[in-house]
Amino acid sequence: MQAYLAKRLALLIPTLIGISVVSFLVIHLIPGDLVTVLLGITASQNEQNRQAIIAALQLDRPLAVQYLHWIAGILRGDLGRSLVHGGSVGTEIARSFPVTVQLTVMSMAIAIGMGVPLGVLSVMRGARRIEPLVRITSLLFISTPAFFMGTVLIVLGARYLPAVSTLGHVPFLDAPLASVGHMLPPSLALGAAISAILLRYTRASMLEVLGQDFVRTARAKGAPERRVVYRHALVNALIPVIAAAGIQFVALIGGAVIIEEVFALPGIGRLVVNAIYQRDYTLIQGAVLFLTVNAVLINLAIDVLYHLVDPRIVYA
Amino acid sequence: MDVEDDARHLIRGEIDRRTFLKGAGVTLLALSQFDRIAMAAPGGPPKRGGVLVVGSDVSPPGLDPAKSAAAHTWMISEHVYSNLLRRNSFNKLVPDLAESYEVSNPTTFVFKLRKGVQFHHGREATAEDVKYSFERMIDQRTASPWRSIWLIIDRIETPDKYTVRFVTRRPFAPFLSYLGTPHYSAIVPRDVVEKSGDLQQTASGTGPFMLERFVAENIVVLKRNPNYFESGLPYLDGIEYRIIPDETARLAALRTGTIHYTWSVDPLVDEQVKTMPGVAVLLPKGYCGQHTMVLNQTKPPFNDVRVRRAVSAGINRREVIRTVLRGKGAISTKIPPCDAPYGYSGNEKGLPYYEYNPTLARQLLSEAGYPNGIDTSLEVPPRFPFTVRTGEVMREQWAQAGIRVTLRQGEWGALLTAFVRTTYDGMSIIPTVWQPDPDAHMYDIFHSDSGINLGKFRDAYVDQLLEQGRTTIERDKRIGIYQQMQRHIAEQAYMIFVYASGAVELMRDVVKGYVSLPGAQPGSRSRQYFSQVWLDK
Repeated sequence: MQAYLAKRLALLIPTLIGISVVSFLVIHLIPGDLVTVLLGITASQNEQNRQAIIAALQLDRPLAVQYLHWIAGILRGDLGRSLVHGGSVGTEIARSFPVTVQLTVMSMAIAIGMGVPLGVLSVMRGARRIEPLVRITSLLFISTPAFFMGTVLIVLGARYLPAVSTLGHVPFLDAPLASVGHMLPPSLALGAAISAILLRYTRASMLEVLGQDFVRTARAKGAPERRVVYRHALVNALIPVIAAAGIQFVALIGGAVIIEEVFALPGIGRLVVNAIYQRDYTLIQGAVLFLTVNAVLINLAIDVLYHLVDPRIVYA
Repeated sequence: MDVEDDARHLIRGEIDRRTFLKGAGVTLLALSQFDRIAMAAPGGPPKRGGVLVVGSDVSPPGLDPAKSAAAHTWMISEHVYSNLLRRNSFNKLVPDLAESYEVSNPTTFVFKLRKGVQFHHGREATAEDVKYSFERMIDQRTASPWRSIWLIIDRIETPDKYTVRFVTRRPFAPFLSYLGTPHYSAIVPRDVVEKSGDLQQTASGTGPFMLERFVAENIVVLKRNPNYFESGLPYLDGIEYRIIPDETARLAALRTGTIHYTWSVDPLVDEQVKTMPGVAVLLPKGYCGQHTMVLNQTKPPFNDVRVRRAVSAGINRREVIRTVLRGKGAISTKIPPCDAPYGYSGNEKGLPYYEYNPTLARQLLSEAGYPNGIDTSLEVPPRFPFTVRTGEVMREQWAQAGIRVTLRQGEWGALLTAFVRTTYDGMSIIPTVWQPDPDAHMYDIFHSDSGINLGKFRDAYVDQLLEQGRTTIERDKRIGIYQQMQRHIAEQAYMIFVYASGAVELMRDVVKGYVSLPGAQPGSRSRQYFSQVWLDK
């Protein structure tokens, strides 16, 4: 296991080098330039202004030199400074990432908390009658875009619960309760669709497992139905659910930009998208690199989780 | 960040002729305490206290007025910093941090500063800070977007602690106008800049509000400056700018009272908020935000003036205003109608090729050698839905004239760069910016020798008018020059101007004393100034 972990972590290095080169090149190759964006429509039309900016930001150096300079900084633990406002990229990420993590964790908590139990419930013997209802509701949740559900939550909230604030962000450490309260509507908007996805995974996986021999054996030896479902079937049915949840988790980190926009959350998704609009090269590169490391580590954690849930899965 | 520059200011660049031409004589302007914006204050005497919450659509990228070309920076920095001059609600230049000024000769401007004005960090603002603020913008290392403006300054002298003398390289008519433009000329403290490197994350000025907190993409908190030099102002204890990018969410926040004030570029928004209790709508008073349509004149067909004229005459401007803007707009040139008498403020009959005439357009195309019409493209930015709609309506109108146009949408940064560098294929249209002076509106984008002349045309007559506009001090003459220029540009159709529009402002009815200053462009907002605003609650 340790050897496996070491190997996976070692693989991180070529991945990061690859990502850094690709993200560096892509952002420099897309049309549009930082100077025009920085100076605005009018001032950018002045050649002297342009030259001053180019000189001040050292954008006249060859791309390879710029890349090596950036990498050298990273090796020293310095992600560089934003080309637009001069702030530290590390600080920007440190400011925005916790917001996204909180949103992701709460969304996933809602998704798992609703999806998995309902999925199990829907295969229990007594649940035949509610099964169509579960099916339709989950279909509705899956097909409703999160931004639409978010907008509906905001508008309905403004209309019927004007005392409840649904917008903006309160840092968790400043005021935990208020923070969770503010984050609840966006988490619901994101979590609803994912809960429906997890419900379907859980249900399908449970149906499959419940049809297997060991379940019949468990029933035959007289185990109570609850024990059969939870102890025998559910644990074995969880692997695909964990895989699906893991994918959703990674997708939310950095991919929840629309919900961040709708609910005015200063998360890392918005940070990256705004940086792209502004061609803030160092900020984009730093954030993309950071998100890549994250995605790799989360995937690794999920693999370890498989092993914990099902000790038969060993990595060598 | 918004990259549109300075759309929001209604500053007409009118230099009062008498003021300017007193020659060696001294011109002292009496200081008017409450003159910043006329205080039409319905609802009784102002009450002190309360925090005004503003719902803003875009986060300021940073707060340094000398470094940011983003309107979202200026709407905040204007409250934090003072300038030597400012404009009152009638757009007259009045002293701000300066107590008085005199124009000794056309290249020498002397300012007497108020004594005892404190920066927010507790140091007196002196002539040295004024000198430093301008030299900092001129310094190439600052990379200020306003550098090219101030290169006109030959030297700045400080005979004593409260006197600053500017000497310009040549007579420069827009000089005072630029000094009265908040983001071009904010007076900053040298010690704070040197300590922090810049003023993007920190701030200390002499304005009515002080920066308390700035969290990018989230919130900007200003609190009242108790030592502000206009006694009694501001009425508010503070201003909070909450960044809420989504318009539906912003309107919902307005409904619940989470925010007091916001704006919209949707001309139909007043229909939406009509049913909201306690919300007041301010429609734009003047139209300052115009669109600029450029034509690539480096190659056929647009290097032929007849084709360009056909494009202009093929647009039914009145119809575009009626359909796209629901009437909330006006015919415009590069200098919008809110800047009259410099700007054009008539109907489509007053300028050549402004009136819709598809027959004439077809005939012009035939004469140019295109009897079957032309096929071309127009780049439109989806970031501004009304610009796209404008393009769609014009496409149908042009079709009547034999101009078959493909609309091309693209990402804003890419479109903007192509627009500025003339690397689009046929035509491109974007909402451009309002400028504090006719010279700023035109010089850089019209001049043949300008690094980036929009559309790449060369016209010696235009250049001559531009130079005259720069150096002619006398107001009436200067107005004549710019009116001649607008007529000439319309005649040659170097660029096409369709309309000017404005933003709609929305506020809770507890907000009192607010005076709407037109200055918006589509996609941007009016200039907001809250020093005299108070909350009735």
